[in-house]
Amino acid sequence: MQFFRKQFPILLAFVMGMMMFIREFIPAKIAINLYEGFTNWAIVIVGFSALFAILSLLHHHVNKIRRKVPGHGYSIVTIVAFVQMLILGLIFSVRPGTPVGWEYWWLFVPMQATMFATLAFFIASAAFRAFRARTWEALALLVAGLFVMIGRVPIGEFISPYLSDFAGWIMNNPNMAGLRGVALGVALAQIAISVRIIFGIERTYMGGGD
Amino acid sequence: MESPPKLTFPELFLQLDRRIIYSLVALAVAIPLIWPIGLPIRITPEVQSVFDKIENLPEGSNIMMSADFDPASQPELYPMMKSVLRHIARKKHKVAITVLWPNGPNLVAQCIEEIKLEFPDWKNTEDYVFLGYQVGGTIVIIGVGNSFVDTFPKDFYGSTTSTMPIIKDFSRLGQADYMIMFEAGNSGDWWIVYGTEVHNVEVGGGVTAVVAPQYYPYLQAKQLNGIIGGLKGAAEYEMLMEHPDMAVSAMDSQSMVHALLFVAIVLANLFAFIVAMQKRNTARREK
Repeated sequence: MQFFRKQFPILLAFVMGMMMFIREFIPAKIAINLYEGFTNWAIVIVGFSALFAILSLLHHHVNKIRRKVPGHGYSIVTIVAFVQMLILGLIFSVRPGTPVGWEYWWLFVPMQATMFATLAFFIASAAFRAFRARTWEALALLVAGLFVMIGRVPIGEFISPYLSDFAGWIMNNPNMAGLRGVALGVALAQIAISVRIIFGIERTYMGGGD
Repeated sequence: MESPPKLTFPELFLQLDRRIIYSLVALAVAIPLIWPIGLPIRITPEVQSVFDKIENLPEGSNIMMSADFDPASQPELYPMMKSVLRHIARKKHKVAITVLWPNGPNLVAQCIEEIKLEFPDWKNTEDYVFLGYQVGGTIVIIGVGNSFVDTFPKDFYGSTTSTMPIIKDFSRLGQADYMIMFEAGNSGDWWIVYGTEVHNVEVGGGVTAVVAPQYYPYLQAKQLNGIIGGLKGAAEYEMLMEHPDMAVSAMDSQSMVHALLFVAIVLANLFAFIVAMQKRNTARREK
């Protein structure tokens, strides 16, 4: 059992990782078929992982209800909403015109729209209180933010077309340069972590941390 | 009993009750919706590029579309998706539509219904196929690179995709002449990395204002040919289409809220600076 818990996942990650890596350099039909086959496998596996996520969610909320922890009423709402939507979806499908479609348009959409609409008010209040130029770096951020905020809407263009041009310059130059640095850093980290997983150095994905 | 020290105007302003700010924001949104101002909307090169690409493709070209958002981003992305879909239908291009977000498909279905009212001859399975949602994210992108039919054996409406007329000449991502993606998150990165770059398909992005900055590096690297950014980008596209709709009507409100925030932030910083100076001077005098 120890082999299946520890060595086998590492072996599997190594074999699959190396196979998919080497396949990139082989333009033969067999390599293409292998790739397409594994892609279809992956969709099935991801489908199962979604199932596990649902089971985990239910387990979490059932436990909260069983232990009657404070706020367990919300867990009841979650489970009731989940179960009724699952049953209605399985019976009538989820397309427009079905009960689930009705719940989507008349419950889910307005609730999510309301939640995000209120964000505008919170952001306005938070920006008023917290967006302060306390350091030179904060001042640079503040000035750039203000120019982009006013330059990217028609009133900025109405005041002066240069405002819009300057906002565009900020987006296309300092913003782009900074984000490119972040993107390159993330990409290099992804390569590093992939190599670590393929060679069994990184094992946290198996759980347990060792 | 000692009375509390009298606050100066800057101090009072900095302690402005949040309910006043909320009320001002509400008024800034509502008033221009009731009495539109009609501020001019200038077309940016990023939006013009997307429009020109779809406009200049030969009639009947294949376009891939991915609508990766949910109702939270509907106010920004739905108007631009509707405008672009209207453009595609008007130019008689073929379009295959996917969704990577589980709560997005019904929004696309609604948009398709609205476009069909404007273009009654625009036919499902011939002019467009709505492939729907499939779990998997990057895996789905790799999948549509191989085959629409294998990844989506049935479309959103439950019809078998393999027998559809549109699939004869448009069965995988690589056969698209252009791709347009509507993104409220990182899925656009996945499309570029695992999809359009691999299959050499030119792509344009319609994105929320919040995520727009993260797509600019792709624009300069020509991995994106254009960006429709936020509600303003949607309004620009509607102007280019000469069909003002939801986004154009909301532009005045957005302008007013941005102007209000601009003034509030500048004043708050100015008064904070004045208060800090006053405190410093008082401390000096007490020494």
